[in-house]
Amino acid sequence: MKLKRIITVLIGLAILTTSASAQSAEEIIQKMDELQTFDTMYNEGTMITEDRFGEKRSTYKAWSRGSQDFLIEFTNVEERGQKILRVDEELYLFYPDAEDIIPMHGAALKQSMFGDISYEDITEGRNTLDKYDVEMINSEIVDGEDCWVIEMIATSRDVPYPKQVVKVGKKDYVLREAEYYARSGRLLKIVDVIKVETFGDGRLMITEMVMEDQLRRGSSTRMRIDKLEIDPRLDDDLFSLRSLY
Amino acid sequence: MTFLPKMAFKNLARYKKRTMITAGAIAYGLMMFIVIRSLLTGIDNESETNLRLYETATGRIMAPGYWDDRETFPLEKSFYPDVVIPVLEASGAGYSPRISFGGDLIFYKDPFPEDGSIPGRFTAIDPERDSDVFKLRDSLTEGSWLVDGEQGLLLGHWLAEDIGAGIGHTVLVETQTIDGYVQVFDLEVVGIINCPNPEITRSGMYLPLSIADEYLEMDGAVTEVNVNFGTVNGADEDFAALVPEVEALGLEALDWRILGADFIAISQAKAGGTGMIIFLILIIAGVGISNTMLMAVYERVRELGMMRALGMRDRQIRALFLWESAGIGLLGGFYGVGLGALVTWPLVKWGIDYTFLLRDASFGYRIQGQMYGVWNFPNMIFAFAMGVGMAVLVAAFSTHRILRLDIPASLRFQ
Repeated sequence: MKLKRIITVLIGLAILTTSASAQSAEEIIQKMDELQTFDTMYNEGTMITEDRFGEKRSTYKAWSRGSQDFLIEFTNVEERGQKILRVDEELYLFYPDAEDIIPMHGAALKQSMFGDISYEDITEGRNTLDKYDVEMINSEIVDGEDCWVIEMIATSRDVPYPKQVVKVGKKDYVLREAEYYARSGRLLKIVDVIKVETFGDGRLMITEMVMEDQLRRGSSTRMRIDKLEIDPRLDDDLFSLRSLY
Repeated sequence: MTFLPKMAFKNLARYKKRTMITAGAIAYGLMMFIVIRSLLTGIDNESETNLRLYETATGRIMAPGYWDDRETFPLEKSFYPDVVIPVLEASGAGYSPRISFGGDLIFYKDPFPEDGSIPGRFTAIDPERDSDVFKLRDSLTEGSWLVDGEQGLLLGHWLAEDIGAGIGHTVLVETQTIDGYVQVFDLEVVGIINCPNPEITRSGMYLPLSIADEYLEMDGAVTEVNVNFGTVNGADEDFAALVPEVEALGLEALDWRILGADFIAISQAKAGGTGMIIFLILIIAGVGISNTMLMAVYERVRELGMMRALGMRDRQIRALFLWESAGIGLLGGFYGVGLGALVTWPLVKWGIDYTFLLRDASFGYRIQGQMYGVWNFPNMIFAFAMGVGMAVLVAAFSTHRILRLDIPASLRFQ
């Protein structure tokens, strides 16, 4: 009888622990999303890709609104004027030479936008909990930061990666590392956060990170924010097809 | 009655050099026409056969809308082959289900010469059924055929050469599942294909249907069922008869002409090109013939004046010159057809090796290695008639011009 009670208590504790962990994993992800989401934002940055062919560098200006809409305009000589717009959950490309807007769908989203970053990598938005079931796995020290390790399993077909493992700083709720997996369980990409800076009202922002392709050896893409404005006034027209021309 | 033809023949024999030059111009034009038509017809016939044997079969059954979006490999536009198989079996057609999907082939140094990845189209085939429709298995030059359930990969010969692939080498395939999730899986190169269709040799990548079904999470659905009624006459009609039954099942059936639209477009462009060649030959031969005929006529203006003064009628003179030009045309036609046949013979027997041209570039034709000509006898008869007709036509114009001069002017003509 005593044994039965102990077992019941243990099972109850296990259930409680599991639900508490799941709950806290959701809170962590929600908090992480909130910290990285701004009403409006403007930034200028550099993307550097390295592969067996050498190094390529691109600079850009980007405007974003909420967690979904953004406009990126490349400013380096080779790609000057090329734009990528995401609005109403659709992605459009604009090439100034062709003066044509290309909507991106299906397999086209798998194409490389820059180095190891595909178009679908930038279309996920930040409403993570709508698209993933999250579960706390354990804790881990990442670059000296104590982090939660959270596994995210896709529940939506709108995301490219069926599984992600994110490592979020316990102190600041900032993403420190992320791993992206294929459906077969093979590790595809690792994102390593290099630099986090404090801006304006004390909010933290990732300003430099490296994405390494685990399938293509020696291939990595470094993204760096050189200038950042939080909550600038942006025209509504900015996130429209008209703004691409 | 035979006076004018005899006189024309004597005139031709009298001006041997002029006759031979004019007939030579006609012969050259006709020879070019015959040889080029022979080669283009040969390419066309063989391309059509190779297109059907290795790519399109007689036709293909797909889910509605798949063909329009084929560039994006829409796996969601798939269907269960069981729906259509009873209809195909009742029709007596050979059939083979396939899944086409896009992805990256990733390979690493050791055993490959270097790391790399190439995007391409993968085709998952039923190893047992595929030979009922396509001749791919006959083109296996190295290794072994695919085995159902084993993670094997067949590569086109040129593709394998380009990336340094050999039997037993392992590659990764990066693609998407039917739900759009990124998927990666291993395959081992088990065979190399070198088939007469350069599209397959250049970029063909084949794996077992069951493996694609598992990794793409297709749950038994396929993107296409290829149908074969053979390449004999009546195959197209058999397939056309099948279309309403397939459409009644809510599927789409397209014949090889639509599936091989790029080749058909090339073929039609070629038809336009042939027309242009004929036009150019006509101009070359026409300028040559009219020039020599004009010279021949003009150097004989005084002779013509004398003949007219002696009572020969314009009609007779015109007929004489037409007989002469017909003689030149006949001579040129015989030479041209003879030369054309002489050049066509080795083209039919041995062909021209132009692998070096197709190795790195695609012209839409589905032939590789040797380009063969065909004997096209109706074309030779047409060429012969064209040579004679053109010579007579040009002579008629130039004679008409000379006959507009009066007799004294003709006699004083320098």
